[in-house]
Amino acid sequence: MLMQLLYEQVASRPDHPALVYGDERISYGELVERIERLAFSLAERGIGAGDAVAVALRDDPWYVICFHAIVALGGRVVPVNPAFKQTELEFCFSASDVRAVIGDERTAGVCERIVAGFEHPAEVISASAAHDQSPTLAALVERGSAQRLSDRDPDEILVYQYSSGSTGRPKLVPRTHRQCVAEAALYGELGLTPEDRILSAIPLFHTYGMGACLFGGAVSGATVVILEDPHPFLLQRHRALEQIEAEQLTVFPGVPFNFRLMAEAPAGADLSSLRLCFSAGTALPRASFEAFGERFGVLVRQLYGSTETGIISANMSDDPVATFESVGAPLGEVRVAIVDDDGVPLPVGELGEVTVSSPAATNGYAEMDELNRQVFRDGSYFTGDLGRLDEEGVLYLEGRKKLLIEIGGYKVDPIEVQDVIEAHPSVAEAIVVGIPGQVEGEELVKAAVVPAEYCEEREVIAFCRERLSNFKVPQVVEFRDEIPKSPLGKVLRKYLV
Amino acid sequence: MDIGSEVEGFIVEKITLDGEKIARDEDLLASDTLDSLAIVELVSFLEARFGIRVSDDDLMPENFKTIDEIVAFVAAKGG
Repeated sequence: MLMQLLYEQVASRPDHPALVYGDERISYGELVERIERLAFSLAERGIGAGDAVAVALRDDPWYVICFHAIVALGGRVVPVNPAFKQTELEFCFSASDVRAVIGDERTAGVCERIVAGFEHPAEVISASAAHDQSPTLAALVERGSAQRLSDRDPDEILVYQYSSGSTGRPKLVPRTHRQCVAEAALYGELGLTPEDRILSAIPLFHTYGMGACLFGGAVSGATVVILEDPHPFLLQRHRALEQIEAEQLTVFPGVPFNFRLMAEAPAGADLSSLRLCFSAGTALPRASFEAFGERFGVLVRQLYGSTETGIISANMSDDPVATFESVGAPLGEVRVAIVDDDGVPLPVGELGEVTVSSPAATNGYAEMDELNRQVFRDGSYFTGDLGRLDEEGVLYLEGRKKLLIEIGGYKVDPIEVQDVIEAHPSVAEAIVVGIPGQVEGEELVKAAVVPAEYCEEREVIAFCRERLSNFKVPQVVEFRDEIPKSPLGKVLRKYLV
Repeated sequence: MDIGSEVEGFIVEKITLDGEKIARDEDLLASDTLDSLAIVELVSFLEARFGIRVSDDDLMPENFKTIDEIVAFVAAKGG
């Protein structure tokens, strides 16, 4: 299914650039040949339909080649954040029962240690030659044969992603070929064409990066320009600006953080080639919208999506200034409704929970039946976001019912962090909340901790850093005698913020 | 105390907060030790402690990748 989109691009424009990475340019024809060769070698190593393969790579062409090769074999890609710590990777690998892991010079070593402890065999494949024990991707492509890959069953699972949520550990979100190709079609609704050149600065392991760049590129034949090593973005914003100007990029999917830092950058740049700038992940502050618009003459539009549904809507209004707070109308066959606490639809203009029905949405979390009954009901996904629809069917978001903390485009589940802190032997109870950061729209992670015995802030932090990605680790730890609670025992978070 | 020890002390005390030593050649960007917000904190510290002025033009990966490179950057700025 997804591979067929690439074959269609090869049939009509084999020499058109599919990927740009630094000085490297890869045409659609070359991309497909490398995918076929890698798929051939992976199949020889026993990877096939139904096998989960984790990809722990930084964004580069290898990521794209691996992704397509795995799914073309009927395998399930498990994209993971390469900055994950060992315990997080262990959880992802074991929860998705990976058959193989593809890592780079940073991640291959830890991946080898993890799979060595597995009961069932799992192979580590490395993007670099630094790990002697692992076969390299280059060697597998070299020895593979370029043979056309057959179409897949549309109901095979294509990807396992992890979603933050309010239940502790991340939830496994399976999506099928049919659902991912449906999302690709939704990106096509944004009017992407082969002449478009998309800046890939959002991680490809993230739903937004996967949708906008991998699916958006494949469905439209556009060129995806991958920003080399985009983190931390504060130090790479000049490179992003240079690339937009030099490569005459036309589409930039970003998060509010990107637009603020670029608007504040010392070096100017001509960004007049950009025709579509999308901001997603969290609400775009008016100050960032205005600063970016004034600095570069480009108006940022808000886009809405989730790991469970893929893209939902985008503001395609002719007047992005007047409508800047909106995330637009649902795209294609996506349907959005606003419901009350009982799930009853609310009239136009009223605030309630956003529910989404989409051909791109997952059928439910893996092995979480009780939660699935709560959030996947009547053919819709209950997002936990609060919003309202206007008379034109345009959606405005106004916060969340769920307790997620927004950190630089990432969502941190406070329950996951609380669970880690409460596992510390000196901690009796912990509550984690988001508190306002120095900049509008950005938050810090704060932990309120009731100690069981004497304990220092640095012990709690060190414990978290061993077990959680850095962006999830609390920046503020407050020791308290007790957690404020209502008479019914509900935590009163407002007194902790 | 030399510049490197002070920079390491700041990162350990104020950014990683975990008290663990950091090798002078450890890649602080690849390990995500320094994210964008941490760099802002670090720049404030360098300006206050060493009397240097860090401009936006100085915010380049090569100045912040390792403690050794931060030390060289501070020295080049006259700190």
